[in-house]
Amino acid sequence: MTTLSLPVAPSSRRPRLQPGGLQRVALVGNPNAGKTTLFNALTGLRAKTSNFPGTTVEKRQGQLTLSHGPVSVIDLPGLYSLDAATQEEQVARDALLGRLSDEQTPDAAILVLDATNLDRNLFLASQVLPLEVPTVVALTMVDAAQRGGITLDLPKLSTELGCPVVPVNAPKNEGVEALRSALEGIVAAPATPKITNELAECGTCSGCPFSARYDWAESVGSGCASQPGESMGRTTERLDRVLTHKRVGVLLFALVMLVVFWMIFSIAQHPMGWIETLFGTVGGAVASVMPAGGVWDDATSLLVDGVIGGVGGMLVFLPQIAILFFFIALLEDSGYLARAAFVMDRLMHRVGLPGKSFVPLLSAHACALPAIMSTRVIENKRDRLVTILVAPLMTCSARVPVYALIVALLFADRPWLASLTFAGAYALGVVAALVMAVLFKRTILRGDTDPTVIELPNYRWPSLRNALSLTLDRCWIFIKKAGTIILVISVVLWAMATYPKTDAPAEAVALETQAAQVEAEGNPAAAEAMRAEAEHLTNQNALDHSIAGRIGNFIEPVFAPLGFDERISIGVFTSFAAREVIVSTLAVLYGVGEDAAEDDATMRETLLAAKRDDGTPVFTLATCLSLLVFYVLAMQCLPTQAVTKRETGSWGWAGFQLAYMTVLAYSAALVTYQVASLWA
Amino acid sequence: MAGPETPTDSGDPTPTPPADPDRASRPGTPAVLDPHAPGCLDLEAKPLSTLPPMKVAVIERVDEEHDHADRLKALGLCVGRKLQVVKTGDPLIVRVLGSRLGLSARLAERVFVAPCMNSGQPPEAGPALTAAQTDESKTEINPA
Repeated sequence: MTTLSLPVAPSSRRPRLQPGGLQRVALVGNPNAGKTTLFNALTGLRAKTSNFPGTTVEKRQGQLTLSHGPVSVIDLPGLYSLDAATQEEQVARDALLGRLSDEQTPDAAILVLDATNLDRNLFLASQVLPLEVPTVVALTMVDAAQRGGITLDLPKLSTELGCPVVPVNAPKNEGVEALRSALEGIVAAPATPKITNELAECGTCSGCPFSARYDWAESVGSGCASQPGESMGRTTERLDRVLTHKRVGVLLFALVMLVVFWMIFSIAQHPMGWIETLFGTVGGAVASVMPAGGVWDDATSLLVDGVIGGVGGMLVFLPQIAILFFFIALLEDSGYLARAAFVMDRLMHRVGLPGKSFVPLLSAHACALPAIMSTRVIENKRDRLVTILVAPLMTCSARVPVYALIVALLFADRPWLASLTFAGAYALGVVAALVMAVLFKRTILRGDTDPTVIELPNYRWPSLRNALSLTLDRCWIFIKKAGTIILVISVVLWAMATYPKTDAPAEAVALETQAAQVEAEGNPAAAEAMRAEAEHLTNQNALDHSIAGRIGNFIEPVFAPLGFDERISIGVFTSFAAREVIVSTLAVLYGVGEDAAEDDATMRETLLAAKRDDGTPVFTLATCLSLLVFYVLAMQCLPTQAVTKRETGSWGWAGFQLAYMTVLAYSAALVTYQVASLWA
Repeated sequence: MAGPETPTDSGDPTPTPPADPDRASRPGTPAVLDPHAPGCLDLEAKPLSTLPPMKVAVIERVDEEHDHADRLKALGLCVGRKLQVVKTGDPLIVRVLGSRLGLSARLAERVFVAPCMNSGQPPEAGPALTAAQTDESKTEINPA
């Protein structure tokens, strides 16, 4: 029987699909319907991720082998309707209608419907089927539905929808084979969708009442699936009573994130150490193999310090990115992330951001890169942009060595004050981010925060395969998109810190001669010390006279009101691409030697002893505080800029982010220095 | 994979969603109440945000500007749908179309619903008043 008779108006806008002509299949379905799991089961872990041309909507593409050859599978964004209200919906609609370029137009569609939630999923079906793309329905979560006491009438559903319905259990690879033959089947005999005209017209005007569609969805749903038994969703209900509680829910979420962070910091440091060691070793090996003298020295330096150092400096971020995304994927897949957004919603609204901004902003405390990449969950474009803009203000792990150095300079022997200063730096980052968020929402990105409407799907065991696939994806995107830019700038900065070359200073030459004498007198230890001193002097002199050093010297007047001397100014410049570089630059410039930067005590004593030309110490309380504030707030991270460009689709926003953070950091450091100088 | 024949309406000529008393009496699931059935709905529509927990109601109108209304509609908060409040507060949780939605109170204030007098009970006789009667689109689902 037909639940609702809706007239069919066959129109053949599309050329009829020839056998063997199937080249592209689009996967379309609600979020949480198991689309990603099915995509991974169909294509394996070899998906390519890119953006739909001209948008920031992500497109995953993989390959599926049918009898006539490989077919490309396009994973359209998860959506509830095709009404073109969001960019995702617009893109999905355009793709299905063949309005994108030819390479993007699917010949057929796999419509993913969640058997446990048929009524809601069928609403999307009411919009997809009238588009007359040959469609196969993949019914997911059939086992969960049966466990929940839902009996399904698949032949009837197939009749109602006018297309083949294949039950699949993607995590176990069940039904994938049947789905393949069904796809081949529709090529041979395309089914006619049963609903068209009225509902199809309804979809073209967004103001049209949705009721007819929902009535259709509900009647087909209740006709083809029985109501769930009492046990269905009971676990979810029980969990939600606790997890969505106003206070307990927030507390538990804090606990969950604490564990995730602990994992990031405790696990990531090992691979980060390996990466650093590996690149150090490779650099050393290359340096020892390369011939010495003249141009070769430059080439060695370029390879070792510029290229290998640059690649290493980029890859060292990967462990954190990977671990954070892995856990976020698990949390999202389990259904918990929706609850997290739910409980944080009210708090986040106070700064004009939706609850979904919370996880990215929190993640930024590990690293701004994955944080910015994870803002895609925020539907509203303005809210997403604000989140991206303020995320780098949060104290990421690369700031920790800088904080550690400054705090050690200030309060090495007063642990309480030291911890307070450290905590204060973190707090300053958070406060600055929230204040800036409010400011942006009131000025350039004005507009109400989208009030939250979020589906709270049933909890389920997260899929390791999905999490791994997402993690691999994000890492590749980072390496491909951000990596190349970072590498180029690393080489440029290397060149600026290396050229023009200068001869070793007279003192260094004298020391070398002296060292040779001392060695001849039978005191190799003293000679070694002198050589090291000579090398420090040479490096110091070289950096001081390089382009970077000259620029640092040139911009020194700009930073003088902040209490920075010319060496700190050079450090600010060289750490433009990666903030932690300031530590090694200061080590070189103050003649500690790069290796000693690891040794806190030596570094600290040398820096504290450093004097300005007029004999006053460089690192006074005021200068230290000002430097700390500057590094809390300044951008000083090139990878972040590259990722912001990718996620916003424009260098404009990346440039704006750099500009506002620099102005903010400068002004705050200026105020800090001036006020602190008055007091001291 | 096909389950046994569903107990509901195979061969049943009535095209409207069935008012199945078995469903309606089950706790935790929104009672499927026929909006056309008499006596089900309260006379006065009130904001969703004022509904007590577990109350079942039918959406009568949504006073929201364009883009938010679209988001609501896409998730099933649309005229004529039945919903049940699972958790009150801000944001609140409603069950609609078989799944749970988190909804900020600001939006819930703009969704006007006609509460069912006997939530969880089969509809009883009473004054015929439904939200759906004022909605033209409803005419489509009348028995053809």
